[in-house]
Amino acid sequence: MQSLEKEIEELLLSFGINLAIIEKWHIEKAGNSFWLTSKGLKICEGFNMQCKGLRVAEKTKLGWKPTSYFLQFFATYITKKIVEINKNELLSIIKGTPVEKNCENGYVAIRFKGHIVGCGLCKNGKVYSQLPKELAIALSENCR
Amino acid sequence: MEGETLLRYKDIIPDFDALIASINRPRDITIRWNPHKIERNQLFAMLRETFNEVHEIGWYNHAFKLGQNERPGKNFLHALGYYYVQEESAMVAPIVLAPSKNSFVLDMCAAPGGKTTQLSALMENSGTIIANDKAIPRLKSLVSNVSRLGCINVVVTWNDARNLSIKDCFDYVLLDAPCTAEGNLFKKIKLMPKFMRDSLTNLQKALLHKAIEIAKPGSTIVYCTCTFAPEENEGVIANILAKNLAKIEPVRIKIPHEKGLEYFGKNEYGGELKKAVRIYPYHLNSGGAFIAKLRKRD
Ligand SMILES: C[S@@+](CC[C@H](N)C(=O)[O-])C[C@H]1O[C@@H](n2cnc3c(N)ncnc32)[C@H](O)[C@@H]1O
Repeated sequence: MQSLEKEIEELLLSFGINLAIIEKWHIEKAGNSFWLTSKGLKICEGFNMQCKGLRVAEKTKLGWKPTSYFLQFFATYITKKIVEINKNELLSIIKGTPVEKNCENGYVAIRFKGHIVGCGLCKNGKVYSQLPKELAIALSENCR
Repeated sequence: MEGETLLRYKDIIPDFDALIASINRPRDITIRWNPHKIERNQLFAMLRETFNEVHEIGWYNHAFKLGQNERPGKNFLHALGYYYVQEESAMVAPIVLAPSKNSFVLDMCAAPGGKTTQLSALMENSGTIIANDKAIPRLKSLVSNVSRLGCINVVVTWNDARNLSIKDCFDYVLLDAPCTAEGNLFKKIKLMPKFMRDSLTNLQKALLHKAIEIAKPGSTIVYCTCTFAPEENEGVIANILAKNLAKIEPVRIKIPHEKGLEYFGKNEYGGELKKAVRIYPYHLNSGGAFIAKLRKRD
């Protein structure tokens, strides 16, 4: 099995993701982020690279924050730290008003209508949106 | 007005009246399933719950046709990356390229990523696709689409592809060239002035020349555009064939189409060009497309 750095291993396990799943892919650290790529991803010299694969998580003051697109990609494997919200709650957190939820402090996966839509942050019994702007806009316009 | 400008192609488009009729008709709305995020049957069920009309497309089981009033880009399922909104005619070139799993692929002019994300699906998220473009604002949408669809085998790069200095590197190269996009004009058909087409044609030739240089000997290169202009299509391919750098292979597709042209006006392209294909808007009630498949000589 690929030896993952402790910090990413802990992050994946905290969401209940079975590490064996990562076997199919490759995770690597670059700067302040972890990236998920296909195995044996290549790049030849001469290309001005902007990004490769999918950003898994980035380092924040509160620890490693999973990206919303990563949580969506791993939706079927996530079994922990899921916070269910309804339409009004989704619209509310997107507008910047947190909603009360019985959840432990830290980053969570927000689930709406049975779909993991992205990342949220639980703090003192309230959940805040951590969705990227473009995704938040798309969801708020289209979740009706 | 439309007829006047399009009259340029009266002698080469077999059903010219159908072409004129088709440019005034709304095009079919089609989407392509993203297997990286959802099972096909799950998506099909969700689509049927969401849209009034959903039809499977016979020749390609990744594609669905929706009613003409639907706006699938403004939908929750779209935001989750379950599908990509793409014209049916635009789905053909990646299928002709047919990259195998774990291969090394260059999508030379990739933004906003319709064909990149389709190649990623065809390769089952394995191997590597270098998705390159030279326009920064378009790169933003490329990165956003690749992330939304979870294409983990894609490396996004920013280069003027003409200036790349590598050789014999890729197993497959797709060149979806910048073009006059005449096949996508809807209602207001005003063709670009000749001097603009001439400068685009030079760019297309330079890009295709580079595509062949970058490809491994014996590998497949697909050149495509969404325009009718033979100068940008058969003319570009004939120019490369004359240099003997690659040979042309037949494009075999199971959808209505016409063969590539042997000549246009005084320009002779040669019988080999019949191996390329032209898709007109009336074939699929979609955009126009030209597709040629080349094999680099050993
Ligand atoms: C037809 S569009 C590509 C569409 C894309 N393949 C898709 O399916 O979504 C042509 C692209 O070529 C890019 N382009 C134009 N000149 C280029 C060059 N010299 N090098 C790289 N990209 C170029 C443009 O910025 C544009 O995004």
